[in-house]
Amino acid sequence: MTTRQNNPRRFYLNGIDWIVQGMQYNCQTAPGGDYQFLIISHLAGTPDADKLRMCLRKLQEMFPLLSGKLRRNWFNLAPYWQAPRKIIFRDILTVVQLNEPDREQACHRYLTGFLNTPFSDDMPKLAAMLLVLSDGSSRLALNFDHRLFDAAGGEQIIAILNDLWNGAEPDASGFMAPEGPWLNEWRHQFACGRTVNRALLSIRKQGTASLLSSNSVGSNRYALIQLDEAGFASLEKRADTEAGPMMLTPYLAATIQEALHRIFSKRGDCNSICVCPMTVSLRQGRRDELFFNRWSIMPMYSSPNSSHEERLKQQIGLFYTYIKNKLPYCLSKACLLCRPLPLPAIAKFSQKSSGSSGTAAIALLSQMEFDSVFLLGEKVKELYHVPRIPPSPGLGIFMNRRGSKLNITLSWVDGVIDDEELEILASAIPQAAEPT
Amino acid sequence: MSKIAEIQDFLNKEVGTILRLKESEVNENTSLDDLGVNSMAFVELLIAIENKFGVQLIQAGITKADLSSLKTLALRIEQEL
Repeated sequence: MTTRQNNPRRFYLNGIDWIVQGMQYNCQTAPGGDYQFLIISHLAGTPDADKLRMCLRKLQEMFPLLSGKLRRNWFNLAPYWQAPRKIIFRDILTVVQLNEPDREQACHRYLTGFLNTPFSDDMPKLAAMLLVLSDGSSRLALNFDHRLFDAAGGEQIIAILNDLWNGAEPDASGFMAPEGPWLNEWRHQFACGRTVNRALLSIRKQGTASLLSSNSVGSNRYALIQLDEAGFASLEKRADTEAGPMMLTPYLAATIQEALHRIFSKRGDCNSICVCPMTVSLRQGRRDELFFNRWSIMPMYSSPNSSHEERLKQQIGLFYTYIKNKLPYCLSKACLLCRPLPLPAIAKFSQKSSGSSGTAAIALLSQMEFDSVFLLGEKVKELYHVPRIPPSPGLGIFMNRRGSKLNITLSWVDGVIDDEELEILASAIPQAAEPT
Repeated sequence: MSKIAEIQDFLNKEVGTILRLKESEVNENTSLDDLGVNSMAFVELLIAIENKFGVQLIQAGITKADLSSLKTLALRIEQEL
């Protein structure tokens, strides 16, 4: 029930976009800056930097929104993203030649730095880094501002960049459909708010959420764990056997929560529940879903005293109930009611769910928007996402399917979790994939 | 229309709606996995089946073999009715 509006440069934010603005505010309280994410591709060769620069310039020309700014309607206070009248083209590509002996470590250092580099006000909300390695291969990282893109939108941009590289001239108009401020559905938004409120009250009854750290202020770090074809097949088989067919997502949620409970038990906290806000896609498969955030959240939780079977059963039950009650959709609609609030208040709200923003964020991207084997003329060896995590909760586990493999990225705010605890978390999914 | 044909027709339409596929793209002999059904889409389908036929397939112990195609799923629903 959206309304289209006439101003083609004004893009009103949806409810989740406004929550993302709150998370951006939270991120800015820590060193490193914005709420952003990287999509990193390992390429077999090195694409021509000048040609890539031209394609990135073309992207800025196609999508003026990249150089836009956040504004508010003075009358109804609805926030919107305003595209500029005139685009000032910027060079958004950084090329680094790496000749260091330990390539992997050097790449990781540069990419971590890139993840912690905020977008300047006068720069587009997209940046690229090309790391050229001495063996002729390269790493291409695109840095996306989460206020404009979600993970699937980011992959769509990569697909468009690849089309531009291959000489295609995509029509930009279909990708950007300005929407109205959603002022015509108050009753519906309040009804959705009731559903969300009931779900939050039900979590609150379970107990207090465990927190890894309440005052983390470090920059973001990340680690990548990969399950190859055999490992992922084995994980799916175990999920089928233990949780039932097609229940991979609840199985992963249970596995991650078990690891988190082990970490808290090691810290001497054996009573609190784990609350993991899990991202789910709300995409409708339309072309104009390139920009902004088309996802929502399911708060998955479990008690430390449950057995593996009980926890699995509980996760499946929660998953089923949330979808039946349309909680993800209701949350996206109810958040529209928060838009008149100032950002500091939203930032506080986005931290509150049963007393906190949860223990750790979880996301599984099970569908690839960019599935080509070649990118910029080079073979793609790996492609994975690295999101930046706000100081609260300070830890995120992001998984994306790439062909028949699974990439798992752990992203955390420095100081939230120590190396031993990280190992518990890093080994949890590979262990859950071991054949029984 | 026989009961099984009615169930089959419902499943084809519902999977098309959930996965945003055209009716011609939904092959009733293809497995749900190959059609692109993930956990969330699967639960949406189970809820649609529960609402239409009153059958709770999770409680009934649905197996991977039941999901090897929309045809086998239709047969399983018919058994539960």
